[in-house]
Amino acid sequence: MSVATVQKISSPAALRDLAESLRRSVEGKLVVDVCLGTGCRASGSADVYESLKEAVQANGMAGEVLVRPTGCHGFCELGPVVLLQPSGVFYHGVKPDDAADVLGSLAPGGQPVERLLYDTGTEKIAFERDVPFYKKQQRIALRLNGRIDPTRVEDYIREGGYQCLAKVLSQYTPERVIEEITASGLRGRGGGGFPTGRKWTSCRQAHGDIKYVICNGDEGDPGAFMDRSIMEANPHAVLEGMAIGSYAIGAHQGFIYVRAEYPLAVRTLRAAIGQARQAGLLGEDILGSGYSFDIEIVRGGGAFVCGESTALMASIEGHVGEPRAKHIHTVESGLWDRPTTLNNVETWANVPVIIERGADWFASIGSAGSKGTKVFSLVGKVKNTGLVEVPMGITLREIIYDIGGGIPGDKEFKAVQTGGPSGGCIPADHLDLEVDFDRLSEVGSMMGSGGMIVMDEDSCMVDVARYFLNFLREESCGKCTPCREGNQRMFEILDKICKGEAGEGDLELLEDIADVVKTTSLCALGKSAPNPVLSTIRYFRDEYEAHIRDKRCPAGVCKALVTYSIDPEACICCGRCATDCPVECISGKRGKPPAKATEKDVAEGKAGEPFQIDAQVCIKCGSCYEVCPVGAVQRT
Amino acid sequence: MPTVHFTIDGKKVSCERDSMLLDVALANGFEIPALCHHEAQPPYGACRLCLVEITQGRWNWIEASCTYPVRDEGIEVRTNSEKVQRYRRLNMEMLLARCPESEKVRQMARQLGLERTRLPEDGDTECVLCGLCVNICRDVVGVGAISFVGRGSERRVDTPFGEPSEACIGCGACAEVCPTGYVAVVDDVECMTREIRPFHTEHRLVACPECGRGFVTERQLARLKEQLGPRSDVLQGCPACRGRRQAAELRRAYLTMKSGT
Repeated sequence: MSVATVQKISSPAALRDLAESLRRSVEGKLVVDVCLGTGCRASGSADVYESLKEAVQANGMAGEVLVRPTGCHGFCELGPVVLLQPSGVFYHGVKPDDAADVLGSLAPGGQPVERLLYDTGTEKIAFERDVPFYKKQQRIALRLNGRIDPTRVEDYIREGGYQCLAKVLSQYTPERVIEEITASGLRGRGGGGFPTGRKWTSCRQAHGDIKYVICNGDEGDPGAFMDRSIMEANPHAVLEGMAIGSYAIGAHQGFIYVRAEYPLAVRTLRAAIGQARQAGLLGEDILGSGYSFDIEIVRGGGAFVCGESTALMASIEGHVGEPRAKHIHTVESGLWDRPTTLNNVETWANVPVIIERGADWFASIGSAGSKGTKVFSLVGKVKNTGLVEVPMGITLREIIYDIGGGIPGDKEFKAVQTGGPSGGCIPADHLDLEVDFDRLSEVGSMMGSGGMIVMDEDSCMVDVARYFLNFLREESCGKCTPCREGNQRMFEILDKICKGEAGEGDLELLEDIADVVKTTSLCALGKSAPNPVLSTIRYFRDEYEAHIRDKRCPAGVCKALVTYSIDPEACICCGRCATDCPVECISGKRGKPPAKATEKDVAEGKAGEPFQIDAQVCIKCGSCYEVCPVGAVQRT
Repeated sequence: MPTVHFTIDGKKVSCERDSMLLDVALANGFEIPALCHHEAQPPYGACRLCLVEITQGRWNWIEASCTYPVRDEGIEVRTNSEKVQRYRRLNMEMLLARCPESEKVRQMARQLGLERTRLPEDGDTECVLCGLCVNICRDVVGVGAISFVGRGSERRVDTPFGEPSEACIGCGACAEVCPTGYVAVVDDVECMTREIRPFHTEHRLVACPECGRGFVTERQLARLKEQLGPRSDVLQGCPACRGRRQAAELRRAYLTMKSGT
């Protein structure tokens, strides 16, 4: 991590001057933005970054070319990702050996490196803005992701960072800030969708001279990485948002709760806080305003329930992360019984932009009840997985097909699960649903923190519900009866259904338990945990009935309910199934298929014998089914 | 504190603002089942049996009454509606499957009209995880010898690492508040030892200088002496002998007073 070189900034005017001089210092420079987010790092982007830097040195280009390490660009599927600025040329799958060619394409008159460009299948696309994955996105929370070096506060300042904090501290009363946020229509991005302005108002009005703000970075949903990417790629946006919110409610201390499984986010945030303090953007007398505010990082131990606000606060206090009843809201009595405003990472990151561009602008984006944009992590059976930020009200179809590129292998879309493990599964009938807080809950799912898992025809919806309930039964804190016992029992019943052991009455019992867990659980984890069950029963009841009555898994996923066999007429005796079988339960003889073998072949021992599966030994892994070139393996 | 007026099962009641609904209902003679409620402790909200149905304007919902602070005038509370019974019974079905051997749970289930559960009765504990023992040990006794361990269905009450507790003073408050008898104090008068079950924690008992009965553990006595300071001489002897001694002193004083006048 680089050390801050910024001197203490003593006034809004000094901040503006600094931003201006930083802008001038990069003017005319060619920039190579290399993604060093967690996803691209895993694909080797750190080596790409090093080799680009070396190549710049070796070619004596250090004066005019800047190789910049950035956070996540979102298109993790294609990493490592590199972006050339100011041209906007977008490369993907870059390897260290590509460094020379990448630099070559930077030179005046240089042509983009064809092999590194995005390929739609029919054409190559040079510019990021034209790539379908990015084209329909509208980036507010992710606006600087991939455009700045997250380890340098100067980069954020150069892009106009902390100007909104300066504006608020020097020109706005706290009430005016809250009015602005209220008018913008911003709702909490962490799951509940509670109006942020209303939360801040209650906290400002709550009695008490000590108040706190908290940033919830305990992103626990499997497959979700929106908040991580923001913390890693643009930490100062979160700090600035928190400082603005804290000024609005009258707090002087903030906490960022990050799960310990996000080491890069912790490191980046820690460096960012250190630099912001040195620059006088956190700490005593921020920008000479007389207002003081500081932030501390608290690392969570990775319990899913600690994403729930009261459990999170208990955890910060040093207690076991357990929720409590919230009839007396945390804005009145939260952390150490003080009025506390807790918002999610993405919510905080939206705050500076709302101040900068105004509530009207923000409120003009999105749907009637949900303003602005939302970041989703689009994963599962979809061609372009990654982070997408889209205006609220966009349809599921646009996200999955236009941005996500549709389902790989031309399979049928079956369902999309939104909102994390306790979200619901939405079927194809609702592909034209406009995605916002209210529409999603109407169809039995939720926005949650923005997970979006796409499933195709090969997914068994009972198995999917079982998968999520298995997660939830382990992650329930166990405090209240319905959530602890109910999630366990729902899992057991789902497991029975998947194994073909369920009988009459089990579906009814499952629905009863789902109802009591939803209605009587103490916190939102329990109240939402039955969603995967209820939504799959609602939209895919026939699949449940097929499992229970006919002992059949229509998608062919539930091992206990499928058998594999080889059609001897269709078998071409190639033996690939036997080669791939992990338990060696397929036998036969490689050679010409009997139907084609001549007597001579038989005489010479060249004739094959159709392969057969020993059902006693078969573990039903499906390898043979997938590898058979002629579809002779049957799954029934 | 301002007073709030509302109704429970049609009867007009009132209470101080932010009183917990369960307390108000019980004080007014309504019967509401609960396993994790204890007058000496703040509400915890774990068992979800004290459910009631609340109607406020066009809103109607099911609520755990123990953690619900009464704030709004005119709410209508129903303690025994069909909905309430349905959800109480469903939670009870799950507790019954968890604690099939617990007489207390069976008895409460019967009171809810439930003889059996549709779930497999495969639980092997009498602990309903009400939290009373954990909370009284930490918040009232101030020791924190036991805690919840594990998450979800793995959750249980135990000492650190399941080993005999070094913090436990053997006071038995945990057993006193346990609703099912899962936590118990077992005194062995022969060996002058006390075991806190099921936490495998053993204590030595101190004998009463007068009757010789073991009446307090060494650690509890030490702690009480520390807390009481100079007043700790009141701890001489077991409660029965202390009572007898004080009664005798009182009698003597009375007789002296009477003969003296």
